[in-house]
Formats: sequence, C-alpha cells, structure tokens
Amino acid sequence: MILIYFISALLISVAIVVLRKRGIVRVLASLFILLQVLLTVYAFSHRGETDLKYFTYDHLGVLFLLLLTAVGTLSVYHGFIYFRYREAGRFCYYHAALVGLIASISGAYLANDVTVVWILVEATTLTASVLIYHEKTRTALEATWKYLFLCSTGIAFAYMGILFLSLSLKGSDLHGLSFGTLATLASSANPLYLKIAFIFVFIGYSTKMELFPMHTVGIDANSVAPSPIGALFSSALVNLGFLSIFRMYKALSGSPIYEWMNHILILSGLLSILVAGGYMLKAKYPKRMLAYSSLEMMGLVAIGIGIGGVGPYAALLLVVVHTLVKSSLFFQMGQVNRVLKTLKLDESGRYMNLNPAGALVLLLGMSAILAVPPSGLFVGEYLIFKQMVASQQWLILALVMILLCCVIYGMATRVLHLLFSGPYVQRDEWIPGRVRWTENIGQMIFLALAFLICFYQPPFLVELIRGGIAGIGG
Amino acid sequence: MLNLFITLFAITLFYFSISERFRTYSVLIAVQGILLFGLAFLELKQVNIANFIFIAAETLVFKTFIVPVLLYRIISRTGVYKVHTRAFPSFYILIFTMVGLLVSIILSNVLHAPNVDSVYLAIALFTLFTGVILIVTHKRIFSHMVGFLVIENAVFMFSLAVGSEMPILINVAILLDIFVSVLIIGVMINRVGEHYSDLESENLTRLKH
Amino acid sequence: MIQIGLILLAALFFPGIILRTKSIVSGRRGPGILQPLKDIGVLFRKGSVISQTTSWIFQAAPVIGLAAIMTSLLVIPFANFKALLPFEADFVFFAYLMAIGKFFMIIGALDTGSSFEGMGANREALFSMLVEPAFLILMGTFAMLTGYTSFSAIFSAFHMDGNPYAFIYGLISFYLLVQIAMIENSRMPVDDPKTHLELTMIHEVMILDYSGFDKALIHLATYVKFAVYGSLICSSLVPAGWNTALQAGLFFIIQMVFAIIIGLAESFRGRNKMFRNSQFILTLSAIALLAFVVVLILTQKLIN
Repeated sequence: MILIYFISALLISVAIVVLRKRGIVRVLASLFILLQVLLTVYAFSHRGETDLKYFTYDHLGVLFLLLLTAVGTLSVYHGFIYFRYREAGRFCYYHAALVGLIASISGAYLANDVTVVWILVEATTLTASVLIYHEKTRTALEATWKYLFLCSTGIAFAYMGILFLSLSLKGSDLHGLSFGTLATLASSANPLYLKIAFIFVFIGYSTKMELFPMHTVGIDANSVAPSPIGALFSSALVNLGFLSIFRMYKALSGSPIYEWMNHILILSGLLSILVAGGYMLKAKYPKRMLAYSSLEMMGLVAIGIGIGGVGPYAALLLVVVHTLVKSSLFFQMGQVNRVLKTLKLDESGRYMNLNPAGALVLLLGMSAILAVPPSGLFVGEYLIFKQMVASQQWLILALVMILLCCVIYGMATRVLHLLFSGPYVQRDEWIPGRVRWTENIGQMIFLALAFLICFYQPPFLVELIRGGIAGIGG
Repeated sequence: MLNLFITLFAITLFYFSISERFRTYSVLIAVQGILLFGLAFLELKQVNIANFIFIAAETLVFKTFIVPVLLYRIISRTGVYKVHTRAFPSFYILIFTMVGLLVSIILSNVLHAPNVDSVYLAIALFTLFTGVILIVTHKRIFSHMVGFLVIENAVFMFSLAVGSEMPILINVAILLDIFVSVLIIGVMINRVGEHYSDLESENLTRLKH
Repeated sequence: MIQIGLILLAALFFPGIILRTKSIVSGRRGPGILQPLKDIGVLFRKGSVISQTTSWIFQAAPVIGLAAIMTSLLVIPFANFKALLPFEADFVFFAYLMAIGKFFMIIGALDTGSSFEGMGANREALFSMLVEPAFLILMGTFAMLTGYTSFSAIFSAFHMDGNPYAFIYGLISFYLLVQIAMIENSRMPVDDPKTHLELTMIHEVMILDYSGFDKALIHLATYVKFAVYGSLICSSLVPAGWNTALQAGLFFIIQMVFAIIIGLAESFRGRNKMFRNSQFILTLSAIALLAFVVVLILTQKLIN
C-alpha cells in the first residue's frame, strides 16, 4: 500500500506542476486527500504489519497519521480559500509542495529505520521551504533562508548522531538500523557513544520539534508562512520531530543511559518553556505568539516524557490535543488576517464585532490552548503535575508553574485585546474583509473534539497511546 | 598515504581561518573534495564495485567541480569578494581554530573506543568545529554556506570511518550533500542576490519578536 | 669551541651578503661584503649622545642584548661536537635568553620617554609573544621525535633515524626556522629595516635614540643573532654523523644561502599591513602546532 501511496503522491504533485489550471489542481489536491484517507484507513486496519521492509504501521505512526489526515484535509480546504483572494501564480507550486510535504510526513511517521526517517525528514525540509517562500517578500526570503540553513545544519547534526550510533553498535552483525534492532542491541553498546549519538540526534531533530536548542527555526517559519501551512507546521511537523526523538528515546531506553536521557529531556523542556514565556511577553505578531505557544507546549511534552510514570501517557495526550487546537487556531489566524488586513497586533482589534463566528473560535481556542479546564490539554497538564508531585520534583514543578503563568498572561492579554478592544495604532481608511461563517465549521469540530477528550477518551485513542509508550524503560 | 591526506585536509581547515577572499574558499572546498576522494579511494576497498564507483564519482564530480563552480558564480554575480566588510584581523578566528584542533585531539583521546579509528574521529571533529566556527564568527551569508559545506565534509569523512561495514550510510550522506547543497546554493544564486546588494546577515534582522 | 669561532666568523659576513644580494637584485653593484663591518668600526670610534631623560637602563640595554646573544652561543652544538655547556631542556634556556635581550631592548626604548619608541616597543613585544609558541612547539616536536631535550642531543640524534617523517619534518622545521629568524631579527615581511617613517618602524624606532658605541653593540647583536639562527638551521638540515670538514663547509654554504634567501625575501616582499602581522605570526604557531599534532599521531603517542 505504501508504495502505491508514494508513487501516486509523486504523480499527483508532478501533474499539479505540469497542468496549471486552477480547477484541475483543485481536483488533484482533493484526489490526494482521498488517497491520504485511504492510507490512514488501511494503516489503522493493518496495525502492526510491516510494509516495503522499512515502514511499519505501529501504534504511534497510525495515531499521528490520523491527526495528519484530519489537519491536512482542513489545510487543503483552507488553502483553496486562501488562494481565492490571491493571484494564481504560485498556486500549483504551493499545492505540489503541499502534497510532497504531507506525503513525506506520512512516510516518516511510518518508517521504522533510523536512516529512512532521516531521509524523509530531509524531504520535509525541502518541501517546507518552498511553502514558506510562497509570498516572495523580503521577509519571506529571510525566513526561508534561515529555515533552510538551520534545518540543514540540524539535519547534518542528526546524521552525525546516527553515525555515532552505528559506531557504538559496530562489531555486532548489523544490517540497517531499524528501531527494533536498536532496542535489542542498546543494552550492550558503548554508553558514552550512545550518549553522544542521542545528544546529536536530539539537537538535530529539535529544529523540527521546536524544542530548546534550535527552536528559532520553527518560530520564524511559522510567522511567515501562509496560515494553512502554519497550521500544518505546528501540528504535523512538530509531531514529526517529536516522533523521531521519541522513537530514538524508546529504542535506547533499555540501555544504561536511560536516566541521563530523562535529564536531558527535562532540561530542554524547562529551557523551552523559559524561552517561550520570555518571548511571549514581547510578541507583536499573533502568529508568532502562536508559535511561542507551540514551543511552550513542546517543552511540557518533553518534561512529561522525562518525568516518567504516567508522564509519557500525558505527554502523548498533550500532543494529540495540541494538534487539534493549534491547527484550528492557525486556520483562524488566516481569517483574522483576511478580515483585519494586517499582521500586527497593534493594528488589530474588535474582531468580535467584525466576525463573531470566527471570534468565538478564537476565544474557545485560546482557552483550550491555555489548558483552561474543559480543554483536553488540561487533563494532560494535570497528569504531568500529578506525576511531578509523585516523584517529588518540586523545583521543576514550581518553575513550570511560574513560567506557564507568564505564558498564560502573555497570550490571554493579546488574544483578548485582539477580540475586544480597539486597535492601538489607527490606520488610514481600510475596509474589513468579509468571511463566510461556514469556514469555521472545521475548526469548531476540532475544538469540540479537544473539549471532548477532556471528559471522554475514546478507547481506540487510549489503546493507540498505550501501545505507543509500551516498552519504555526496557 | 592516509596520513598525508588527513594532514593536507587539516591544512586546508587552517587556511579557512586566514584567507581573506571568497575565491580562496571555493578553491579550498575543491581541494577538500579531492582529498575526500582520495580518502574514499583508500578506505573503501571492500565495498562492491558499483557502489564504490558511485561514491567516488559523486565526490569527485560534485564536491570538486560543481560546488566550487557554483560558488564562483555566486561570487561574481553578487560582487562580494572579500570575506570581511572592514579590514578585520582573522587573529581571533585563527586562535579559535587552534583551540579547536587541540580540543578535537583531546576529545578523540577521551572518546576512545576499540573499534574506532582515533585519527578519523579527531579530524572529523576538527572539521566539525571549523565549520561551526566559520558559521558563528563570520557575518556574511556566504561564509555561513561555506561553513555548512565544511560540516557536510565532516559528516562525509565520518561516514567513511563507519561505512566500510554499512555502505548505505555513506550513500545517504552523499544524498544529504547533493540535495541540500544544490538547493541552498540555488536559493543563494537566484534569490538572495536579487534582493540584497550586500550579503550581510545583519540585514536579515527584519524578523524580530 | 669550534662552533663559537665559526658562528662569529659567519656573523662578520652575514649582513654584507644580505646587502649585496639586495643591491644586485635591484640592478646596482652595491657596497662591498665587509661594508657593514666598516660601519661598525666607524661607530666604535664615535662618541655617544645620551638623552637626559634616560636612566641606566638605556645604557645597559645594548650591552645586555649582546651579552645574552653571546651567552646563547654556549648551548649551540655543531657537527659531532657537543655545545660548551649542554644541559637538559637548554632550548628553553636559549629561548628565554633571546627574550631577556629583547626585554631589555624594549624597556630601554620605553626609558627614553618618546612616544614613537613606545609604539615600536609595543609592537615588538606583541610579535615576540606571538612567535615564542612557534619556536617552543618546534623544538618540542624535535624533542618528541628524538627523545632528548638538549640541543646537542637532539641534533645528534635527529637525522640518524632516516625515516621519511623525519625528512618531511626537517623541511617544515627549515621553513619555520627561517621565518622565526626573520621575525626575531625584525626583517620583512614583519618589519622593514629601510623605512624612515616613524609610524611604520618597529625595531628601527626602538633604537632611534642610540648612537655611537651603543648602536654598534646593537648591530653586532643582530648580526650574531642571525648567525646563531643560521647555525640552528644548519644543524637541523645536516645529519650529525658526517665528516667535520664537510660539515664546516656546509655550515658556511648554508649560512650564505640563508643570507641570500633573506636578501631575496626583502627585495620582493612588501611589509605586511600592521594588523595582518599578528595574524601572519600566529599562522607560524598554527603550522608548528599542526606539525606537532601530526608527529604526535605518527609516533603513535596518540592512542590508536
């Protein structure tokens, strides 16, 4: 199935570039979404199988694939709307790159070999940079250059880590570095080299996951890319970074470096939340604010995994709900941009008057992302705090709580200003754009799901998450 | 023979820190490509012949010809010839590079493992440090790109040390090389030259907060 | 004993050969080989004018400089003969003798209270500081290759091994020693002895206020320093086991070639821009460091 999927995706993206008419491209993109849904259904029903030797439909892969399909569908839909108001020049490149991006992310979710994951992450970097450069302004060029350069450096570091990994396992009979063989050989490998390998891989993939060492990449990219793409970055790519690091972590958790890896994760998570809190208080662009919020959430996820106990379960729950909420917020930002015709926070205001349906999404989304109780994120954070108390990590608990307060303050003031108060800087004559309320349906559905998870976690979700975290700690 | 190549490689790395013109950087990258080809030739005797030809050809063609030619084109198109905008002593960069050499020797000793060739580890780490120093201490984007190419060379050299058992790893390293270099340099040629007359990374500060 | 005589003899002719080479390359006939000696003779017969603002350091500096160079003759070996006073790690002693001479020249220049001399002293101090690691690492690598730490023992054991690494290292050390000699003696491309602009002088400006007897002493010290470095170069190039007469002949030939090289280098190079000088000198230390690391790896001292 996956071979069919890749070939079809390649054909579709080539066809999109070759045939440039808008209508045909839309049809092709919808065809791709259908293909993606088919892949997800197939993966879900064939859990545990290995396809094409390098791809396994394991629990986490299937879970993230589900999320990717949902977000991807909505992203393509919003992409169509986005282009309704712009010239068609880049239409085909945008959609071709989008198809490529979603296909590589799906492949990377399902890959079971370290090198294959690496190659596909590389492919996502390349397609993503085409998408960031889409607007062709000077700012976009700057963000694309930074993104490409820093991601490539990160990828080179990650590759260095993979080389160290193979070095540490040298001598044993090794045909390829799948995660399964890593797990079995980890306990007998040289621990010093494993540590170095993990650090390099962690730094390399932190470019994707928006975690402390190289988080600046994602922040700039998110603030410049078009909103549907920003949604995809914040949810699917971040999940990809998380999954790559998490798989490595799980494979190496049987080795003597398990405790040390936990320390690294907690440290990095703390520093991420610190950076996010600090910058959030200074953010002037709403998209950038959302990017910092992703940084903070990923920091929490890293801490959750590092804490142990019920932490990994909570972390995965956080990841799932964050995907839903953050993507809907980004989609909403696209509408904010269209209605208010500005990207700056100072010039925005009174959104509730101009677009009540959208403002409602924004309000609910904000309360969801800040983990205010009926949100699914609240359950995740609550479980992490419970685990921190249980393992008596008081310092971390205190620090995280204080920093989260900064984040809550920063984000709440900005969003409420955007919704209710008037703009600080008056602009000359401008006419607010009109947005149909039907565009908000998808986002409402996502938010409803997020709120639902707070009360009722569907059994398939629980089963997938538990399957994913099984085997940690060897 | 191996030691000769490695010594020459180290000399090129020192040369990076004292050269003043970007053309020298291109020449140095070409020289490094030749040296890596020599290293690959010496190291990979037991790989099957097709794979070996591919690796050797890639190193020679790509690293030695295509990338330096692309760099030359960028230099002439954007008109940026000198490494530093003002007359700037490369004094401190040279000191950093010397410290980097010492640190990589010490690290190679500390990280010693029975199945790892210390010399390769030392030179790969030294190359990595030089690449990072180039990126961190220079202000121009061109230097950042050259620094990235040097880091790629480090990864390639390291994969040679490991790759006699698993050639797939070297091929993947080459993949990295090809795709990312062409793309980054392509972006550089086409786009950045159009927008900026003066390639300073100080100009890339519009994205703040 | 014989090496002191040989070195002093070479020192007499050294500056003349440099001057003659430069003249011939410029297309002139140039002064005779012994002209610098005649100049020194003239200086000896002149009286000194000593500034009122200086103290005893000003008068003592040239004497100490010459004395330091002369003392260093005690540890230089030649051919099969050991030095007059060899001991362990005497190359460090040598390096610091040179440093003492230079130190007193520097503070003698500062003693005059002239800002130009202070500037020259400042630059001279910087360059000496930067070239010192090069010399010490160079000698250290020799010591590591041969296993001894005294000049005499090092040079008697050096080419005896005859392996290709020693040969390559001999070439590198030749290049480094030539450069170090040129820097220590304030020659191009670090310092131009012919410039008359105070802002661009380095060594010349330090000795600007000296006249007569003191100036003669300074010049003598420079010439003997040249010859000492030349003898070091000769010892590193020529294996110690050969016939003594052959060695003496080679000694003079190498000194002459060294002088011609310096003359050629002075004729064809301009002086570096001032800020590039420090980088140029540090590059020598970097080359020495690299050679050291390579020898370290080759002699298996790095765990392999």
